[in-house]
Amino acid sequence: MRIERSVLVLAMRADDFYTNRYRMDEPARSLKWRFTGRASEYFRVWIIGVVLSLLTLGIYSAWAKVRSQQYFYRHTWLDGSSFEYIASPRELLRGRLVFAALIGGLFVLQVVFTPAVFVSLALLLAATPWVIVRSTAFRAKSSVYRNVPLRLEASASRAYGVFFGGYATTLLSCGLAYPGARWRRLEFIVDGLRYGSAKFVWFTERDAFYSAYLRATLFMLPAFAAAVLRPELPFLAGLPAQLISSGAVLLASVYLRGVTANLLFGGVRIGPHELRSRQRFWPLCGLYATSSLAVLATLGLAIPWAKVRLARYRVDSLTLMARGPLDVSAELDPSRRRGYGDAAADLGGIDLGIG
Amino acid sequence: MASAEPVLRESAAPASPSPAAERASFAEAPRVELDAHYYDPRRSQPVPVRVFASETRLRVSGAAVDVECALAAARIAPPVLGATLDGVLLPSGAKIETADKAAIERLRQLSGRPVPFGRIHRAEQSWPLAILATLLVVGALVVAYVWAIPVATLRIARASPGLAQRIGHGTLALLDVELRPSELGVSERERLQGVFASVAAEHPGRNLKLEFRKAGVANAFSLPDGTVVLTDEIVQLSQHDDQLLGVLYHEAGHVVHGHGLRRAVESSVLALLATAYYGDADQVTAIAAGLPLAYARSHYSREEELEADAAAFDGLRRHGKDPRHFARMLQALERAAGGSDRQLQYLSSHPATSERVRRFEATASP
Repeated sequence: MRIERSVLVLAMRADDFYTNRYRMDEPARSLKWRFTGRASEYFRVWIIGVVLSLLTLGIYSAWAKVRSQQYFYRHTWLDGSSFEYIASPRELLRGRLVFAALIGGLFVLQVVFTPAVFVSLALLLAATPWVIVRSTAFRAKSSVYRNVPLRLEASASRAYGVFFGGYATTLLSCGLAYPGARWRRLEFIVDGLRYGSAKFVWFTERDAFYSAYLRATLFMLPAFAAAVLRPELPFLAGLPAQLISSGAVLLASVYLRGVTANLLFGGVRIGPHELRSRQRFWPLCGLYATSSLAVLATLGLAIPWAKVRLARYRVDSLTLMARGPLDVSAELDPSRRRGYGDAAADLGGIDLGIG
Repeated sequence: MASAEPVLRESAAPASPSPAAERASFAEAPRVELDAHYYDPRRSQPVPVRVFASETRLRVSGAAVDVECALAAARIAPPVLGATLDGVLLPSGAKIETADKAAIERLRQLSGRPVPFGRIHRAEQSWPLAILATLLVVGALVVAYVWAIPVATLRIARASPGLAQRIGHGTLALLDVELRPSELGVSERERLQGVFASVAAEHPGRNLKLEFRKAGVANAFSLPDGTVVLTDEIVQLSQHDDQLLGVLYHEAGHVVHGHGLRRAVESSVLALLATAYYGDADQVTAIAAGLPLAYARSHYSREEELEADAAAFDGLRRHGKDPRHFARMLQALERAAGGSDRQLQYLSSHPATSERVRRFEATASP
C-alpha cells in the first residue's frame, strides 16, 4: 500500500527531524555526557530494594527509590564530575503516605457517597499544577552537581495560569492545541530552573512541538487505514488489524518520546552554555523493543538491564556546548549544611515525569 | 579558585583538643590521605587539594585552600557500586569529591559515624545474596500467584459482606452514567422477574435483585451487593427463557462466591506487588512488565467464570432443565460478538466459549 510505504520512508527519515534547528555559532568546547552504570551492578541494587520493599509491605520502596537514584546520578558524568542525588527517603515516604492517604480517603468517600467521585476529580484537577511544581522543585533541589543544587523558582499562581490556560485551549480546540499547551508547561518549568547563579532558558519554539505531534500522527496512518479498509479486506480483520494499529501506536509513542526529549533538552541554555540532545529514532525503537521483550520473558527480572541501557542511551546522546568554564556562584542554602539525607521537606516522592 | 576569596576555616568543635595540637598530629602521621577536588560553599569550581585525616580532625589543603574541621562533623556520601566519585560535605557547606574509593572507605571507618546505606551497600556487593534475593522474589511471586492472593481475597470478601453492599451500590450508580433505562415491555420484565425469583429464593441471605438496562451490547453482569443486570440486547438475543435462567444462575454464582469484591481486593494486592517490583520502570517497558499482571488477572477471572458456569449447570439441573440451554446462550453470544467488536466485551474476560460449551455438553449428556 502506497500510504504505508510513504510512512515507512518518513520513519526512516525521522532521524533528520530530530536535529535541533536552533543552534547558535559553534561554541568553544563540546562536552559529552557519559553514563557509566552497569546492569550487573544495578541488578544487585535493584533486587535488594525489591526484596526489602516486599518484606516491609512497600514501606522500604522509598529507600529503594533513593538508592536507585543515587546509583544513576553518581554514574552520570559531565566534564569529569558526577551528579549526586541527596533526597531523604523519609521525605519521600512522607510524600507517598500523604498521597496514598488522600487517594484512599477519596476512594472511601466515593464508596459511601457516590457523587463524591466528581469532588475527587475536581480536587485532583485542582491539585495537579501544584503537585507538579512541588515535585519538580523537590527533584531539582535533590540534584547536585559540583556542590551546587538545582532549584526551581516558579510561583504556584503562575503555574495555575499556565496549566489551566492549557486545559482550556486543549478542550476548546478538541485536543488540537495540546502540543502548544504542553510546550507552554515545559517552558514554564524549564525557565524556572536555576543552577546557582545561572538561569535556565528554554529556546525551543512552539512550532517544533506542533510539527513533532503532526509527524507522530502520520505514524498512525496505517492504523487508520486498517480501521477504514477492514470491512473490504477480510484478511485485515481481527488479529492483523490489531497488530498493525498497536504497532503504529507504539512507533508513534517511541517517536514522540525521542523527539520531545530532543526538543526538551536540546533547547536548554544554562547561562552561556547550551545543551544538545541527539536521540535517534531507530536505535530508540530497537532499545525499547529488545528491553520490553527481555522484561516480558524474564517476568521483570530484566528491568534493571532495561533501565541501565535506556539511561545510557539518553545520557550519552547529551552534549553540553560550553563557552568558558562551567563554574557558577551559588547562594548557600542553610538546609544544605545538614548534609546527606536532610534536604528540606517538600512534597517528595510523587514523581511525575514532565519530560 | 580566585585568590581574592577569603580562605575558609572551620570553627573547632567545642569538645576537641586545641587546633595547634591537632596540626601537630597531622604532621606526624595522618591516618588517611587522599587527593580530591574542593568546592567552596558558594562556587562550583573544582580546586585540586590534598586531604589529611587524623583520629579526630580533617584537613583540606591546596593552593589558596586551607580548611580544617572535626572529622565527626564531616558527612561522607553513601557508598555506591562501581567507579564513582565520593563526596564529603564539610559543616561550612564546602565539599570535597574524590575518586579514591579505598581512602574514602578508610575515612568512613576512621570517623566511626554510621554510614548511610552502609549495610545495604554491603548486601549489594554480594552476588550470592543477589541470587538468594532473586530466588526469594520469584518464589514469593509464585506463592502469591497460585495461593496467597486467591485465599486472602476470598477471606476478606467473605468476612465483610457489608462492604460489598456499599461498593455495589456505588458501582451501579456510576454505570448508570453510561447505561440507559431499559426499553423492554412491562410484561416481559415481570416474566423475567418471575424467572429470577426462583434463583433468588435459593440464596435468601444474599439480597439478590434483578435490574434491566439498555446498553447497546448483549451483556449480563453482577455487582457485589447482589444486583444482577440484564441488558435489553441479551434478552432479545435469547430464544428461550431457560437460556436466560442459565445466565441468571451464572451471575448469581458470581455474587454467591463473592467474585466482585475478590476482584477488587485482588487488584489492590497486585498493585502493591507491582509498585514494589516495578517501581519507576520506564513507561514503555512498564507495559511489558504489566503483561504478567494482566495475565494473572485474566487467569483469576477465567477460574471465576468456570465457577459461575458450574453454578449455572447445577441450577438448571435442579430445575429439571437441560443445562445445554446455557451452552446455546454462550454460542449465541459468541455469534453476536462476531458481528460487532463491541460485543466482544462480554467474552473477553471469559474462557474460550467452545471450551465452556464442551464442558456443558460433556457433563450434560450422560
